[in-house]
Amino acid sequence: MRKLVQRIELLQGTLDMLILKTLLFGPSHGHQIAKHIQRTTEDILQVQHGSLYPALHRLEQKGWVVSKWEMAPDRNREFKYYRLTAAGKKRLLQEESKWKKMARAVAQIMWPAEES
Amino acid sequence: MKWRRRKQQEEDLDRELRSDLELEAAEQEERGLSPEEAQYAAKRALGNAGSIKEEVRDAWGWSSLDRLRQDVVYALRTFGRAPGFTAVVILTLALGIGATTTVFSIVHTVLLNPLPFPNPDRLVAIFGKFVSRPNDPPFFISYHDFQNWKSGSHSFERLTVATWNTGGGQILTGAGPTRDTLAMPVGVDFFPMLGIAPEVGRVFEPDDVNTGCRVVLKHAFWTETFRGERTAVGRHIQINNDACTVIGVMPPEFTFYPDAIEMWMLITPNSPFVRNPNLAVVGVFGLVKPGVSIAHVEEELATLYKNSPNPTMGIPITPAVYPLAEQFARLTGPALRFSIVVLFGAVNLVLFIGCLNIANLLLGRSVARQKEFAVRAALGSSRARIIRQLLTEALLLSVIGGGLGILLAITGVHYFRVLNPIAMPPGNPATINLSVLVFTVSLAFVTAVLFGLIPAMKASRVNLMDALRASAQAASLGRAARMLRRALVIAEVALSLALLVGAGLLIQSVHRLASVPLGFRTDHVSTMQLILPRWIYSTPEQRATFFRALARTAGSDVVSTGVTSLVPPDGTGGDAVAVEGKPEPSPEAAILDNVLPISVTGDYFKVMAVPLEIGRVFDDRDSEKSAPVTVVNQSFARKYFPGENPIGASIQMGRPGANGRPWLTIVGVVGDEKHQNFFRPMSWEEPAIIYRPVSQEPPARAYLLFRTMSDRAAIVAMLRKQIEAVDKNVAIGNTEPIDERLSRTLSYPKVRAIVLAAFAALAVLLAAIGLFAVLSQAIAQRTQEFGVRMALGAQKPDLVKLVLWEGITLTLAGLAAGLVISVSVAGLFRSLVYGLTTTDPWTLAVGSLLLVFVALSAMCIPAMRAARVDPKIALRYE
Repeated sequence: MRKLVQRIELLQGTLDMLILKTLLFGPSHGHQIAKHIQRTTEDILQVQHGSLYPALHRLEQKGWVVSKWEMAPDRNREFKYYRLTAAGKKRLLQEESKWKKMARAVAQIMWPAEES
Repeated sequence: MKWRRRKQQEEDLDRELRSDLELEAAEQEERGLSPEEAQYAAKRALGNAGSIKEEVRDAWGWSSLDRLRQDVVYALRTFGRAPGFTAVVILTLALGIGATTTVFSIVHTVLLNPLPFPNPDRLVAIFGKFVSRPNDPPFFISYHDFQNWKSGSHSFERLTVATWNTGGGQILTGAGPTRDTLAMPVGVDFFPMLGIAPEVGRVFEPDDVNTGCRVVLKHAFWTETFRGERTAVGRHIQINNDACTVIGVMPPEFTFYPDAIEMWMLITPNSPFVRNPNLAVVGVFGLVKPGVSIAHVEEELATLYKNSPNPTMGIPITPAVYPLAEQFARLTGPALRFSIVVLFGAVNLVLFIGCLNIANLLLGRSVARQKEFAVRAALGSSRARIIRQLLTEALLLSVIGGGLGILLAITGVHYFRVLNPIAMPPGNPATINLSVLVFTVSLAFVTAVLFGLIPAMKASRVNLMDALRASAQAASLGRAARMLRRALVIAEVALSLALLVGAGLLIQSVHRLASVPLGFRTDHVSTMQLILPRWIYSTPEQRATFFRALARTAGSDVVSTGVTSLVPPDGTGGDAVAVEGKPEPSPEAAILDNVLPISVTGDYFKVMAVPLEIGRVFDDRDSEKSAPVTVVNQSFARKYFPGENPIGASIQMGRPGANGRPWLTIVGVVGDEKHQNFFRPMSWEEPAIIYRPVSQEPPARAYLLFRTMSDRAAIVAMLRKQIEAVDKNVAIGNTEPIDERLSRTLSYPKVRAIVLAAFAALAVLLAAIGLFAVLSQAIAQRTQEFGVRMALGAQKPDLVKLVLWEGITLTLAGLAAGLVISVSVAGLFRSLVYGLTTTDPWTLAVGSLLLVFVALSAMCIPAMRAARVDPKIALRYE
């Protein structure tokens, strides 16, 4: 039980970072965020709606993003747009540096020769 | 607010997911799928919308309010499934809390609440007591004693005098009709001692002693007589034809015993209290210095008294120092404090029984719900969740029951305050006591929580599989818990019996007290008070002339009248008597052997139907000029002439050596009348009385007695006219039927008995409910066992017998315990009981029988249920 929880948390954290990064380029609605991540990673990362929406609401609850129903520029209907807040940007920077550190650490172990 | 936001959020989420679905479907369609297939593909991509929503909601976080709402809704559904149980618990709580809070609020007002003065705990009243009779009520003492203490004592910040013993007759004229008033004579230090400043004007100052009459008004009198005008200060009112200057008005909440006070006047060197200290006595009141104990004060005053040059009355007395609040309560109703203590004890018993009952019901109910807990645990409810659920239920029961209880308490206190069934002492008006309310509500709450939770903790820890598999029969509490439930029922029955016996004793006492032949007629006789103004009727001759004229005028052919200076049952005590030819009584005996002198006309005995035993009553022969005569009652004859014929003997009223008092010849002996000593309300006394003819001993205040068979109002109007025709200066006071006067003296015992009876009824009802609950739940748990027994050939009566046996055992055990309790505490109630012993066997027997009857009724339904058990159903019954 405990192990499972840890794994989910790790995945969530990563997804959170990806969402925040996506929003850095401008406000988007849920579907756009999912498509953006999918397209950018050439479909390697498939974002499940089942994790996306809870993640978005969690981020909103924490104050890293804010949402608003707004008219889409290309369509004549409203979508719920998420927008990065100042706190969200700060959080993104933290996550990014953490992720970089970890990536470098993992790389040092995996490919030690290339490092020097 | 919160709910609306939550709803908004839900709608929002719905819309968001829907729009995602539509976008996805549109995309799929662009890839060439048919609209229908695109819909399905989109739904697949989205996944389970329900579980997404769940997860999102988790992300929002459940507020504790949401959870509380769930628990409350669930609890209410549970209550709805057991309406009987719920109603009984809530009613028990409401009655327990309501009754306890009401009674304790009154206890608080009478016994605990400080008087509304700045230093209530340091105010004392100082009276005297006979050394030889420590159990007699304390009495006022002489002004000399006060002066002696005042000059010698170091214990007081202030020491002063006040008295309501005004020697009869302060007549107020010029403010409405001529009437009696009470202008309480006080010392200069009276108001400073109490520490309350006047609202208007000033209070007494030392210089006022040497000027004319000055008064400080009570607020109510000021608003009535002077319409609350501030210019009242400096104006005059007439008391006994003496112009008294108003110097101040006290604030509305200022009060002192007795309630009848309308103003205060100063005791001056010319007052009878100072000039004639042994006849006009006073009460001493003081503000003790901080840290000085009552025992110390008593000791100091006793020493000063012993060394006094002129002590009271010349016989040994001892000063008795009391907290002022205690004396206020005692003077208002001598049995008030004790009655209230008894009622308080009773109401606590009821509350206790109520708590036992709730504990019992909750215990039983949790047994029945053990399977429910197991199912919930199996479905994933955590233990904490189940316990929280039960806590919510207990809380909800307490809140509803407590709310109703508070309403009841408010009604109860309102009843005491507005209807005033018994006089309350001066001081604070009765109000709901907040701390008591909090106490009783939390007591009820703790009971509910404790006995709701203990089994729940146990139940939530049971082995799930065992509990689920087990039938209701097996899912019962352990042996210890069953014993506990039985013990609770036994305790309820026992305490109910004790209350029932107590109520029975009080009710019978009231009944007997009221049905004792009083020796005089109580029906169709009314009294009308007459006050002869002192300044017009200063001599006995003047008064005798008035009464002679009154006798000629008052009444008619159908209305017979008489005059008396005292109406039974009021009045005991009196004066000493010397008998000619017998040794004079010792000074002490002379004071303690009280003979009550009453002035009457000869018609008095006829109107009051007091029988003449021997000799004659007064008639026209007995005038101011004829030889002084007296008629005595049998009690007097027995005491002073045991075994002799007193007719023709001579007696003299007054203390030995008192000169100027005439020798009186006894001309008749009449039957005894019952009188009541104010300080011994649960008893009748037959004081020795000597009657004197009004013509020879004319009183300044008297009662016109008249017998009416019909239309009292018209007769009262006629009599008023007749009295006014004789002299319109005579003040006519209240008119009141004698039986109303009597019922007033019985009002205390009656209210006490009724309230206690109500508590006893409540207790019995609770005990019956407790018994009923235990038996019904026992049957529910044993239905399968009964089915097996019947399948094996047991007959229905056997099962009924089994149920009845359990019920009867519990009842009898309770009765036995109750009898022991009743007999052992009964002695405490002696002063409230009249005409029977506190362990009256009939009362005990009737109380026990009543409880047995109630218990049998409570057993009926469970027994019938047991008889209706169908073996087939019972065996299948889970």
